[in-house]
Amino acid sequence: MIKKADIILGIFLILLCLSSLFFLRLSGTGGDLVVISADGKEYGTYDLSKDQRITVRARGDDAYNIVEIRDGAVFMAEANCSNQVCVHQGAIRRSNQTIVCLPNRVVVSIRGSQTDSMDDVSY
Amino acid sequence: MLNADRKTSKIAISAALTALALIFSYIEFLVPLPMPVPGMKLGLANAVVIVALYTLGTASALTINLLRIFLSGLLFGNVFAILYSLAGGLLSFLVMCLLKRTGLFSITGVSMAGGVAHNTGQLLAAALVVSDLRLFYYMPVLLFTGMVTGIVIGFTAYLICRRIPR
Repeated sequence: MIKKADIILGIFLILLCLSSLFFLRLSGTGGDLVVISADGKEYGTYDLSKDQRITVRARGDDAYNIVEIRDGAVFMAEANCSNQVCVHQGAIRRSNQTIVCLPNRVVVSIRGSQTDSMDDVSY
Repeated sequence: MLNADRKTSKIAISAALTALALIFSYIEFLVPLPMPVPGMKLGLANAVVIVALYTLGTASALTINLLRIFLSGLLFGNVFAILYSLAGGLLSFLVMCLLKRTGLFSITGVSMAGGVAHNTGQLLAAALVVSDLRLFYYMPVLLFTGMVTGIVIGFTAYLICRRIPR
């Protein structure tokens, strides 16, 4: 009931999974900027080292998300979305990590500043 | 069996399977299992679609799948829910049909690829909705969970297909 092609496909998918994991997550360095976008447009960029609460208005003010930056990590403190998935996800702190609130179309992610990609390699 | 009888029985079975798939969708909507990725599902309804694909053929399976998506979307979800399931359901169905046609894969393998394709389709739809490619951050975990749920569902479908008289 399990054929050879199944196993080959399975191995291929696991390799694809591991390599995408490596490129998307483990390659992430410290990161120091928080980039928020709403409705597909960039909403604002914030300093990860500065504790603050940002209220994001999306979908023409119908939706709101409160993003909180504290101790070098970002989390969704509050949202009026239907499923609260973004709130339950918890905090992110490394570059490339992302919190998405799909109902409100809000994306929060961490970026390194422009310089660090080069400097990281050369020190 | 006469040809007309056969057609009638196929329609009746398709209708019953559509209802069954709808019930599975409803169960998953009512009792979401704790999953590593929020909003992720086992995809019980897909077991019905796979059984239909292997016993009734492509056309019936596609009809059941589409009816299930629209009905469950209208009953338990909203327009966006339909959009996401349509993106996942159709891509998954296409991949499963193609792999089945090659004849190289077992039901479990076909379902595994279907699970991965389903999650990929939903991720693409979600990335379109928020117009943000950063969503592909979720790709590794969606690939993995799609594989695992696909294998579980595929094995279930295999056990069912073995017991169905043809």
